[in-house]
Amino acid sequence: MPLQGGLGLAFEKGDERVAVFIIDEEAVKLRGELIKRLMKASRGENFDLVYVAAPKLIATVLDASVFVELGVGLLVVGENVVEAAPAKKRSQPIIGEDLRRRLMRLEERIDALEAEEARSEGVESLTERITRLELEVEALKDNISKSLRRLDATLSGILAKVNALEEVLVSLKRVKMPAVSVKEPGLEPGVTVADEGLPSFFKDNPWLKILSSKGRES
Amino acid sequence: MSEVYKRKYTFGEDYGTSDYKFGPITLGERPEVIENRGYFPDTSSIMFKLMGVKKDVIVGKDLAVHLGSREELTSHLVYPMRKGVVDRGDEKAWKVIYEITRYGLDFFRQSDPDFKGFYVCAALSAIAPRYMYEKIFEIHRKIDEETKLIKAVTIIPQPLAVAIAHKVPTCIVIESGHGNTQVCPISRYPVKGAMVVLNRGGSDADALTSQILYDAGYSDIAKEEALVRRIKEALGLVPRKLDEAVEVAKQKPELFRAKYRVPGTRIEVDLGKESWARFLIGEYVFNPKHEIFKSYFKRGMPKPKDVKVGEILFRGMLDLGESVIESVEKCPIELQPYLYGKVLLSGGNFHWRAPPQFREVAVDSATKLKLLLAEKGVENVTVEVAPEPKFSVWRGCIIYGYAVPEDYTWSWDNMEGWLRIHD
Repeated sequence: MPLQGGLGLAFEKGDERVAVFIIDEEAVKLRGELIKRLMKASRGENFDLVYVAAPKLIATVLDASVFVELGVGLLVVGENVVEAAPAKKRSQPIIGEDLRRRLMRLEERIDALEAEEARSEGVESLTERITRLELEVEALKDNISKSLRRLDATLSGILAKVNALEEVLVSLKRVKMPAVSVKEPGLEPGVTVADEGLPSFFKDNPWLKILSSKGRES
Repeated sequence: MSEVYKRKYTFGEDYGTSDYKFGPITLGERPEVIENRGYFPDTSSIMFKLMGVKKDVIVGKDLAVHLGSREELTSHLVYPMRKGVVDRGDEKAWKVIYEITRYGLDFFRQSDPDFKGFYVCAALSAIAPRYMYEKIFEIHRKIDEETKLIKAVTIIPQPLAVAIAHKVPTCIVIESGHGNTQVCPISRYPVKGAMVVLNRGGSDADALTSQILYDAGYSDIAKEEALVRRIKEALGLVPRKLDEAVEVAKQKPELFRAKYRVPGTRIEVDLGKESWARFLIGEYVFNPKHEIFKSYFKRGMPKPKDVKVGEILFRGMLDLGESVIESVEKCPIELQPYLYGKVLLSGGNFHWRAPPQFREVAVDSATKLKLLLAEKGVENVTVEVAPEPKFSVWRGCIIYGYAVPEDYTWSWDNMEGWLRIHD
């Protein structure tokens, strides 16, 4: 990660977060830069241990007792790196913990609310689906009922026709009687035809001759 | 059209007062029968909507399942031919006749590709006026426009059809239906001027039966028209001599006990001590002038009255023997012996049983008429009851429709011939 404002190094060591601020020749050359970096180091926000690292030449002008007093460690960088003053572990501000706890509680409540909302959304969705299904079932019942009625009417009609046909068939069988002689309408008297298939009341009926001569009397 | 075609497609229609008999020649001996009535359902009722009925009037074999309450029947059930004559403006009655005619023809719709329509012969009461003929023709024309089921149509009087069915060209036909009785001389055609019409029929015997049931404690059954009719047919007897029959029946109450159980129900009618009254029912058909009926008239039973309908006088109280004599004596003298030579009784009102155990005092209709004629000095008359009187008219229609040449066209002067409906 890019380091700014003289922060040369930042890393974690176990549970501790460590920052190292660099005081190099550039910090000395630029006006106010040295003071600015030292001030930042002394604040050391968000770090448990804070060090200032300086070359041996610059370190000679830095008063190590001031670093000890501020709890900031001093590393003198030469051929080797010497810890001229140890850094003191900083306690995080109480207010931060409190905020974190409150934040956690809020997060928990938000999670709970979101879960509840999700549940209620689910219930609403289920209710809607049930209502829709009920409507569909009603429509289906209605359709089936109408279809059954139509089917019933059709069947009744078919049955009635079958019955009528059966009766016609029976009567057709019944009228098949022995052939007798009757006068054919329109034929001269004395000319006869077989009355196969004609009912018995045709046999020897004098009206056949009378009626068949209608319109031909003259 | 050939004679072979008519052997298949001659169609008879008998518009009886109670029943409509119909069907083609191929049915053989017996036609189809439905009641001559129509039911006008209350179209605003919930039941009407639930049943999904589309028609304004219901006729035919399924009619019974549509009937509403008893109270409703009076106003919704129409018997168009009850009196033999339908008023020209009685729209409901004509609607029923249209529906019944259509029902009958539809019932025998043909699938034969050679079928070009029926030769329809319809029979109406002998007293039917000309406008009834016109209406019946109009109805058939309309049905043919809708169905192409009718090639030609003709109409004959019912007594003529009876004479034809019984193979007698010269005779007296007495046709007695529900509402009236026609005594009609036939000499190859009805001698209309000599016809005698009585203003009574089966319904009058029903009314008397109802009164007898009421007197015997069956006031609820007495109101059921159809049930009363069945009881009349089951229990009624025609007496040889009414006074003697009543006396014997009162002496032997158990022998003459009149009991009837309505089939399919728990209802049983037992006239008990009043069983002698079963002889009144038969007597009333033949002779309502007997003294014994006066008490019934006094108690409110309607007395048949003389009524004039159009040009025809309907006689109320003339006994049947007098009716035959009056009718015959309106005909030429030389024809009269031939007319007495054969008297045919037709119609449901003559269908009385004379069980062997009652032979001493009960007779059939033919014997009763002979006795009435003998009382008035007319002897040696041959009287026959049509074996199946219910079907005689239809059979006559079938023979008439089959035999009359198709080129003999309808004449309003002669009131016979074919009215061509379509080619």
